[in-house]
Amino acid sequence: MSDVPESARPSAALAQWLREQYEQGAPPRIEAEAVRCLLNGVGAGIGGTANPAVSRLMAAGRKAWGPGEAFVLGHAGERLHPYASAVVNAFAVTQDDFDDAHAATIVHPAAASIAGLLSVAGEVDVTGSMLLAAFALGCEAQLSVAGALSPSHYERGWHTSATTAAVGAATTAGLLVDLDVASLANALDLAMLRVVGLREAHGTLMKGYQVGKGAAHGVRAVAEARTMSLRNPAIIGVGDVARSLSNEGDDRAVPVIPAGEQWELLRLTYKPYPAGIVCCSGIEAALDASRSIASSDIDGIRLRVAPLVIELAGDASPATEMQARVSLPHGVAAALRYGRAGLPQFSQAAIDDPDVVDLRGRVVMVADEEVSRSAAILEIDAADGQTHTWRIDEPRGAPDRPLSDEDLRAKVAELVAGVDAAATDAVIDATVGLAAAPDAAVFLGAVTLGEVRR
Amino acid sequence: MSTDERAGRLEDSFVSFALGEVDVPSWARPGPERIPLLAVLFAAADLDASDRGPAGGAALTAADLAILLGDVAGRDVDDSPACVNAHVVPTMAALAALSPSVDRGDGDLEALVVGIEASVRLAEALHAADLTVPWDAAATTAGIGAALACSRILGLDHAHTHAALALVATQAPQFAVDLAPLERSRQLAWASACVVEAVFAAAEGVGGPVTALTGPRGLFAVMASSGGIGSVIDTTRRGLGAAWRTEDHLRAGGCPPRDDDSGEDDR
Repeated sequence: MSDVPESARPSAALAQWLREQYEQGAPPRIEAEAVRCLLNGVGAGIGGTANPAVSRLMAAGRKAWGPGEAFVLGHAGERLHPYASAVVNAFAVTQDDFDDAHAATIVHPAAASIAGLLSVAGEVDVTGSMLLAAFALGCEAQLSVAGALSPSHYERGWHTSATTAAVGAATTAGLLVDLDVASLANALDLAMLRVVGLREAHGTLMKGYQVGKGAAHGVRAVAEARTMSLRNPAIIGVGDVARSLSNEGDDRAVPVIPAGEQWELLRLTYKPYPAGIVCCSGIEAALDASRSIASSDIDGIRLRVAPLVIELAGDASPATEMQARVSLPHGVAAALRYGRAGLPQFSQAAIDDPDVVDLRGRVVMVADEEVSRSAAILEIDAADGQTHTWRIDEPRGAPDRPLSDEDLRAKVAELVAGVDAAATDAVIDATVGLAAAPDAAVFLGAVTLGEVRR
Repeated sequence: MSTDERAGRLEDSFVSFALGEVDVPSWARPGPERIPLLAVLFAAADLDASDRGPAGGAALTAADLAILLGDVAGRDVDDSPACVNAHVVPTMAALAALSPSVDRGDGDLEALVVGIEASVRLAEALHAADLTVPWDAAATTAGIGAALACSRILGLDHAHTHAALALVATQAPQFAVDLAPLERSRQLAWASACVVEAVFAAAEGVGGPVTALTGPRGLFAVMASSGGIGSVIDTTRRGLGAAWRTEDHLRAGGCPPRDDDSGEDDR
């Protein structure tokens, strides 16, 4: 382990910046994007509570940890121990692959920061603006640490959204409970002491679970931070730890602190389809194609994508909804068959639809080094002998093609309506109005689909 | 044998071992042959009593109990080599899962023995393959055995035990950093509690890949940046169920040397 002086401790510098930003309040442009990110996240999370695994995780959390006072998305009147709520909330936000994505790191940061926020929100007295700032800074801290480890961290097999979730949750929770700089730095390093998240989990419930456990580690780190310190405090970004997590330098993978308003939060994609981010351009190309060619007139389908996309999403025979969400052949086939790419198109019924099965089997994935991993080129051989091509460089929702506020609200409304149609306006209004709220009560009441009494 | 051919087999071997018939060795049974370190732990945990006593009767959750006991035990063996003290966390986590709602009597000892053996074998294999740095081998490997012990105690079937193994594998890696003794024991304690939670989740039907340890993006793959996975699998599986590696380690009181062993503690 390297012997790093306090002055060169990456977590200390990051904590200093986080604390300063929290006290100053997020700049208007950042705050506006934080609202969009939070809205997208709570929408995905409330929609995600329909997953039966959520109630199973709640039962396991109660059995392990006993009762608590932390909030749970979509579950008014039910509280959990903070460690259990962190697992459940992060799982709900991320498991359905309908949340956000940061292309450079393949991290979905809202899940962990929402988990950190809900784990402590009931015990703190903060304004809506402070809540938003803590959320935004949690996302930014996670992306900063992930950026230092990327791209080799993910390529080695780590699930970066999970391995760095502890940083996001610790930042958001730590700021809300008012940790000072030293304690926040401790929390960040303690958070990365335990690494959770294997890419082997993709396509299983463990994918969302490990993001939740990462968030729980972050919440735990905040609880430990005031009383527990490390003899040699540097964990993030240095020495053996850096070498074991990435190949980005000989022994340093130091998080970059944003200059001015150049936050990574501004570079998020809000997913337009419930699928892995590397699937979205291919799905969109298929949606475009479906408007001009009937699936019955298709002879052959070729999809040119980056080699990594095939590694991540090349499964042509998904058996479950979770596998279908990371199957580009399925996403393309379903989009061509139905002309839509929402939750129903990734349901078991769609997976088993004979027409989808047939189309899926005709998708040929072609690895093309010239195509970026956010792009897709779809070539369809039609029955009339012609070949048609559709190219998408960035999917809708990406930073250069952002969803409009109206599109984002429509997405969230559909997700929330899947659980409680009467709650859609309350969720959207409370989140959009959070910056001006005197406290968190209305927001917490809305996202739990109930009324919270403080 | 290729890594692909091995994939899943270690996990299968572990699960079968954990749930199969166990003839508890004499060194683990109460009596003069019991290894002293085990005797201390088992006595502290009051394992041989049908009544769990004050700890079992207290209003603690399973995870609370795991934290409490893991913390206490972690302090006692903090300076031991990693492949010896790897058994601490599974012992404590299994005890936590055995809170008063579960009373399996003699089955407790069987579960603890298989959990400890799995942890020791894995720690030994990682040590031999030079994969323990910079990881805290005890905290990283012991949870695997703890998951198996808890699964047996709770009566999980093969599928749910596979799930428990996966949910613990994904949260197993912990870095060895310069922690004060009391603080390291708290790390082990937290790991114990997380095992208990994971096994409860698995029992509820939350699962993961059956190749969480040996898959191309599994635990061993992310720990080993330059190969060595095959030897870990082979070393761990060799003689599993037929020979007890635990006894050798606990009686010897240290880790076997590597070819290039510097003599330093691998924690």
